[in-house]
Amino acid sequence: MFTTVKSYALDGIEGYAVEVEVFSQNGLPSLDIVGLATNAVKESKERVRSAITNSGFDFGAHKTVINLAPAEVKKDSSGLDLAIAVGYLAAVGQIPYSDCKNYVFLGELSLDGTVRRINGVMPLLLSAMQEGYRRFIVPADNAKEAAYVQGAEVYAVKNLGETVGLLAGLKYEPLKTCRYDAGEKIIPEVDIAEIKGQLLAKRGLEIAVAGGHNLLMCGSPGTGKTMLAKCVTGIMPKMTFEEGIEVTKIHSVSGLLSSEEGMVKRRPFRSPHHTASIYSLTGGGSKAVPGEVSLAHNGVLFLDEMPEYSRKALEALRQPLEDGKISVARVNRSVVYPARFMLIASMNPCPCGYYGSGVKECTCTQREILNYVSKISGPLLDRIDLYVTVDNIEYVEFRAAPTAENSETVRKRVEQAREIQLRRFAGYGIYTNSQMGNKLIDKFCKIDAESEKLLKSVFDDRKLSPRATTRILKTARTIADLGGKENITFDDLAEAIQYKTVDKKDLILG
Amino acid sequence: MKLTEKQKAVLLISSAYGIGIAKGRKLISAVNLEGITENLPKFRSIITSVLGEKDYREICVRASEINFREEEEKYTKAGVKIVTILDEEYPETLIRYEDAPLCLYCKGDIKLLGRPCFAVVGTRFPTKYGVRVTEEFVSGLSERFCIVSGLARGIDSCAHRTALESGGKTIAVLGCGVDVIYPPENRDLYNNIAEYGLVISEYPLGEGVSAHNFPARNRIISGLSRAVLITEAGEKSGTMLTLNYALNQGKDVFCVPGSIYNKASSGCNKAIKDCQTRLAVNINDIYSELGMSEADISKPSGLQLDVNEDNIIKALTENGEMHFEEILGVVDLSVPQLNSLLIKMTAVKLITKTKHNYWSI
Repeated sequence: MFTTVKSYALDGIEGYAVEVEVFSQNGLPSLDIVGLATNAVKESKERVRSAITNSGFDFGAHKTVINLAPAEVKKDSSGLDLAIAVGYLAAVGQIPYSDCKNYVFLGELSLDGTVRRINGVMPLLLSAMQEGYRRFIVPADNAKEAAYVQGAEVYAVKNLGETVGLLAGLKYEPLKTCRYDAGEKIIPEVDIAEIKGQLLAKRGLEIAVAGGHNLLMCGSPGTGKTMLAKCVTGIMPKMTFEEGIEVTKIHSVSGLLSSEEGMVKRRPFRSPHHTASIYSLTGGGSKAVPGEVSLAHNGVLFLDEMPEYSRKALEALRQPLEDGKISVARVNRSVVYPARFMLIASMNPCPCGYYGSGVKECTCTQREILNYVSKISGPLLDRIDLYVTVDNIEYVEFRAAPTAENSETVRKRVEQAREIQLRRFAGYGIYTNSQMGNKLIDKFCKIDAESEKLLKSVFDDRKLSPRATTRILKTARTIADLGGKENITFDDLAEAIQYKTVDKKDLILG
Repeated sequence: MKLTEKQKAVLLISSAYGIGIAKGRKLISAVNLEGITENLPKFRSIITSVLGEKDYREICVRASEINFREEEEKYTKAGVKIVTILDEEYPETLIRYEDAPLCLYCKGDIKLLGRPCFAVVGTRFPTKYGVRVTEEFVSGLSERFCIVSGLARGIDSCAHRTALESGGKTIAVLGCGVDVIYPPENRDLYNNIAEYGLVISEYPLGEGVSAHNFPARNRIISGLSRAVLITEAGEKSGTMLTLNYALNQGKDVFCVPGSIYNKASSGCNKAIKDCQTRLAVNINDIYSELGMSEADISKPSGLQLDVNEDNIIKALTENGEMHFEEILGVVDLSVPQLNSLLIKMTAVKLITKTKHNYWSI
């Protein structure tokens, strides 16, 4: 008999429909899978045979061909197992075929018939919903994740037996849709109140987080750059549902989603080590998996000791920093992953680390310092919105912070600023000021004549690039939002300029 | 360019082996060399009597090698003009020194050689202070003088750049061939000077960079100039050689003092201490020493300062340089407020950001 059963497979963070066609007839017993199946799928026939037998069904002796359509696309997902097993059982007449057509089957089979967890259930479901499918059967371990998909009728199954029971008409309850709630309390690794002094740096950090701007911190070893970066998790605003879905899709595809969580609720904070290769940052490998820049989507990518990263890896950040996405091209596929992250980087002023520190004498030559700083190219520096210097604590100890604000207070301000931004950008498909394009900048970043004069004088004086100018405007918009102001004032603009670096000379000479 | 007979003669003499500036000048002042390139044997007896038989033979060897048409083509191609010691354009300020070069290879506007010049030199590794001082002095001096410097890294480049930016003229004296760009990162600056100013060198085209050429060109820098200003220099800096040349040439030398803790200013401070140079804290110190009318350098006033601005100015006047958080201690402002106030005050040039997080008057 001939049957066809629906399943979905991943392409990047989108799914595409795979029709599992099974044709079974009398003849010499055999089972063949055709339709550009890779090894993971070819091996599925052994898993299916064993799972069917161990679930109490009769595998029988048939001549069977299984075709995975569309036949020209390579399939390498073990998530087709369940669909293959169900298709086979229906084709050999062990279960009624009529009901099979109403579901989309996702799941990998274990030899004893258990349905195993697969990667990417959320993106698969979302893609299938877009194409009009509503009823799904997914592994029980993926239930949490699937429950966040609104409007779908999802059944979570533990094993093949349950699946067959469901198809045979036994009553199963579909999953209850989870309500998204990011309200849990965030306990940061380091509270911002623990850092003494560094008021300029803290303020810079607050602005950066509020508007999703890129931040570069420079300072001698041990001045607190990494500690400041660790504060970021504590002051980051909660994610909206839409943002959460975007992040969850990427994490789900990468297999980083825990089965208890079901959805990523905290903004990701990724800190790849400086030995990271270009492909681990941008994404790649034979399956073109997402890299750190995509995993940091809607969150933070923290590069500690930025000049230590390979030049190529750093330059590869330029496209995602500008476009908010990265296209990963491989021999047989090219995938676009979202990568709208906020870059936080830290660096020393020179290889020995003490140039201009006032504490220890710097032992580097001019050339060494230049070489070190040159690791960060001009175009990359141009994309940094805020530059802060972290000074030695001796200088600033006397201002030791009895009045320092804690992370909770700062986060409240940040969240208010984010809310303003969300309201402003409703319908534009972006969430933060840093994501504004030129049209939106013209619309939302109006400045008065006096401010215009200031910007012009800075533009001439420091030879700003047009991009640097727009970046200053975006930062100024965020500063105005932090102050709850409708329009950008002169002061907001001045502060934004204060934080913007322009070229390498700034890094060295200050 | 078309070479005149005189120019050909000087080129021939000066490029002959074993004939340097001293012998060359001796010969040129003793003999009218016109026609030497066409009929060398006619000059045999007189050259032999002035310089000797050996030098005459060297000139003969050189004369057989040199092809003036090729030379002319070479100069035209490189956009280079030649000014010899016999030419009218040769700067009068330079000609009186015994070691003045016989030929100057020029790229750019050679009329600048006749302008009153002022040399501004300094360390190759300036601090932000040195750069600021250079910019301030050069932007003033370039109104009355053509700024001469050596196109080296650091202060030299800064002086050229500032002169061009403030609409003045500038001459770069190179220690290599006039078509050799060194240091290479100054390529843009070199092109700008060649277009809007003048690049000169005593070395023939294509002469590479060698360490001993650089001190020698310093004598041209100071020789061309009415006076020399050193804005920042360490004790062992090559700038100190320029200082010596200038003093030997009887030029006025001005030094800008620096912090006693700053090694980059130690040369300037020492020169002032040793009473070798005049101390210059502003441009009028220079003008009054040179007997020129003083320039108006008063800072733009008339700005109504509010109490915070006033406090900041006072505190900075007392303490020199202050950290952001130190300034925060003297005013009643929040971090963002002070942040924008400081940039505002910097924009109207009331204060300066000396390095990250630090400000001074």
